[in-house]
Amino acid sequence: MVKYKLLNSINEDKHPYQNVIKTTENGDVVTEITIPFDERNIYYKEYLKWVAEGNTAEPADE
Amino acid sequence: MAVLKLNNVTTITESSGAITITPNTTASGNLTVSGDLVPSTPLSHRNMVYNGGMKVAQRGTSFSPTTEVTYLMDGWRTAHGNIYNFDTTITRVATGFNETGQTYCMKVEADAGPPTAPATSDNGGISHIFEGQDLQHLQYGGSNAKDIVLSFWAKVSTNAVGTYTVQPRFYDGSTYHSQYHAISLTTTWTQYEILIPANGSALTSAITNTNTKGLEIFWFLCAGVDDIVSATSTWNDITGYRGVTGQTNFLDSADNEFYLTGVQLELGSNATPFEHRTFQDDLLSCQRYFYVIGSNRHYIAGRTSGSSGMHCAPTCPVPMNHTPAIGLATGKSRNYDCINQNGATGVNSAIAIETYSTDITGGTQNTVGNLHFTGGSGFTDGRVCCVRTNEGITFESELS
Repeated sequence: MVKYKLLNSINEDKHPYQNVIKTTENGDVVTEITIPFDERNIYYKEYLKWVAEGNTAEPADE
Repeated sequence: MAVLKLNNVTTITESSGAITITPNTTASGNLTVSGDLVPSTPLSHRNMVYNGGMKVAQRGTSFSPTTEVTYLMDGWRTAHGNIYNFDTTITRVATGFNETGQTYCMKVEADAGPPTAPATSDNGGISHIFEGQDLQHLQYGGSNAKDIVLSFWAKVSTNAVGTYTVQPRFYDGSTYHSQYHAISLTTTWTQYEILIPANGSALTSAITNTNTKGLEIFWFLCAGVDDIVSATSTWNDITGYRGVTGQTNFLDSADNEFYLTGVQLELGSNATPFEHRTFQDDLLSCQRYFYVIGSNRHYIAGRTSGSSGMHCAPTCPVPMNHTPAIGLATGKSRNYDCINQNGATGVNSAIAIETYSTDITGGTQNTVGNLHFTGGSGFTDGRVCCVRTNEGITFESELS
């Protein structure tokens, strides 16, 4: 099962930016990937496709 | 045809100018050139394929692709037309060194089960991708476009003997262009040589000059009936994955095996011997797209951020292609410490990575990006610190 969850962060200049965390559960095995919002990245392309299919990532923690 | 036979001639001179020998010439003895040797193709870095000998395997040496693109030994991935279930096990195995000159090869084995036959527009195979900016010397898009030649060693198991497809496909920034070549694979290691002429749409469409995909070469092991075409060595603006007439269905038996190694793509119309690179050369080429910080207590300098976080920028041996995705090894949990004046404190919330831009040279920096670790406590903002990785981190910026 695949889940996406947004992650809010700040850089050294305190400017905010966002990633999305992809978590994949395959039985007892869990993998986790932090995805940059870079349109060249294969995981970001996959995420955009998932969103285009009508899905929405879990919101980021406050 | 006139034949000139020379005996006991040790010197040929021409007082009026240079001597030109037009036909192909073979020197059966040693050839010594006391002047400059000026070849039409490069003497070094001839091979545009990296890891063509399958030496580098940062992700491991065994993979089980099904419907999704799977990245294999570095530089290699699966291709799935129509989300086809390319139900195989792909491993890196030792090869017959005395036959191929390579230590390793890729082995693709059809899975038991029964294997899934390709329907209509299904396709399955493997591929290698090249950055567009690394192919500009091919001079596509004009009348000076250059021929290239692909060479590789391959064989199959007995039941899988037959016809397969090699599809080179280049990208001009908006459109794909393809050729489709048939190869007949046998049970014996054979070196195949495929001329990819600079013709057709290669004379009018240039390969995109960016750090994104410029060319991909596919080895299709199966294709559905709707995607069978005649083999052609002329570039046409065709996007789709295709198999050639007579294409064998590799997945028709769980016993089927396909082996590949010694892959080389070079300028010219004749293949030269495989350009063996050092392990380091191949590894550095691979690390542009995939890089691993090991789990053996790797330390990365940084600065604290607020009372619970820290920033750092790990150094990669080469600039990565673009901002990488950060991964944990399969089945591992976050296990990182921020070491500062207070000692070691766990920073085990999800790691963030700030997107950075790259120029056409592929990046102005050798960092993989600025990472933000959080989940600690008691930090003083802006102090020097370092992160200690008790579990490894992977960085992926593969082309697609």
